[in-house]
Amino acid sequence: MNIKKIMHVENLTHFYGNQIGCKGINFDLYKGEILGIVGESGSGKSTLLKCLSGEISPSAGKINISLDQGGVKDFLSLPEQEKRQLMRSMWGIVHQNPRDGLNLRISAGGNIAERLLNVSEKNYSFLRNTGKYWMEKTEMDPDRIDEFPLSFSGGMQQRLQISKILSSNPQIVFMDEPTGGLDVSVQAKILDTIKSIVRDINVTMIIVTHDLAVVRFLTDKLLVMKDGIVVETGLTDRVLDDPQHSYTQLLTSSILQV
Amino acid sequence: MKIIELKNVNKKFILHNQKGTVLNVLKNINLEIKTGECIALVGKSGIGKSTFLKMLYGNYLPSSGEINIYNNNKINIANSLEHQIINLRKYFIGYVSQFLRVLPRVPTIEIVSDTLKQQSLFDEHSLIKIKKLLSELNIQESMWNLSPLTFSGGEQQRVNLAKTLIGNYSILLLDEPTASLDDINKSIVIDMIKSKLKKDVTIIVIVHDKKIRNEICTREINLEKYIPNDN
Repeated sequence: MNIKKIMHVENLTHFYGNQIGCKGINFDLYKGEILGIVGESGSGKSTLLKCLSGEISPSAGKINISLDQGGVKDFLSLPEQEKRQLMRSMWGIVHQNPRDGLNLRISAGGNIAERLLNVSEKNYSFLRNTGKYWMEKTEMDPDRIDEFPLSFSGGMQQRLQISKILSSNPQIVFMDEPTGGLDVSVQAKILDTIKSIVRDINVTMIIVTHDLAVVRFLTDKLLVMKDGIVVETGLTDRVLDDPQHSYTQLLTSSILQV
Repeated sequence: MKIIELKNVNKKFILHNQKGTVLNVLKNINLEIKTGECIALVGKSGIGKSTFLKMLYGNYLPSSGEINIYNNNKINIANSLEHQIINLRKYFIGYVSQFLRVLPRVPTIEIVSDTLKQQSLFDEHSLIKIKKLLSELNIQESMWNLSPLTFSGGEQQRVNLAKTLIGNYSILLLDEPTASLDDINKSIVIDMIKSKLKKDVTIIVIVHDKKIRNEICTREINLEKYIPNDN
């Protein structure tokens, strides 16, 4: 079995002035892997995600990206335009608040089609069918394809955002607290939807969350962050069930039992 | 042919937030398990039987030593990349924990189907196979489309067993698979374990009932001899 390494991160560091955002981050991500980044607020997990997804330029370090068509690119030293192009065509970002990721002035179908247009798909009926297909896949009613995002509930908007991102078949998906703003009653179903889609299309994903239940069900491996550095890393259930670092032990023993 | 090999395996827990308490659990484990063996782990409660099983699954990390799994090649589960362990768990090693752990609101039948989907074995015959297995385990048809989280302890355990036994694994790790079952269901599960053994599946099981051990196991491993001296 030879699984392709699609991202190699080395000594990634970001400072806000004198303040550490994240420091000395190293990891490899393989095709089809789902990586969770956990830690309390201020631990640097969102900073790390933003560095990885290209939203901010880190102060130091290296991100090597393996392209689908072969070859490796040193992402941080690419010219700005090439960076943007790579991000648009290969990456997808699912925001915590679906309204940040959706275009509220166009229909559900339009939102899904928008990404595909970016990767130069122009056939109208193909776009429409893809829209319906993805709505169905994320357990939405495809008959609502012409409705606007604001007529959907929060959970449905999140499903729509996930449809929008996954329909363009991105190489890496970044998710920031994907179930963060949702009612507990819809969280589990969305997690189940994400999980089954992930298996179907073998997508690679990085998820930031503070919710250990989310990482247990969704992710394969974990980075545990505290004060900007990674204190522990490994197979998700190993880190949660047999934590080695004192901070991870604190984190896992602090979960309230319902 | 050896399928599992433990070399100088030690396990201790360091509880950093409880005054750095060190619990030495198992020490100097050196042993080999061959394909098709059915091994019972024995020893008094708290000795580390579940810990042993969890280390074989990569769920607990040995403090030192190697745990080699022989698939086509050798994989040291104590020191491998995450995706290698995940791949091993998908196709090679199945684990039935003492308690069922599933997402809320997912129906029983989907939970069992999921194993086959993961192994890319789900086809048009699969549902019939799954329904047959659930019926054999006395899970009533009216419950198949319900989440097992509201089921009784015994029913949850049988769903937990169905979820793993439906798969095509070469190694099965079973943590008290019959603990909360009545006699009828116990003998059904024992028969299922026997038919896995006929297919040359290697099984490592924790089971307290000596009668059951005598019925299915080819060898006992007593963990008493791996207790560290300093305890």
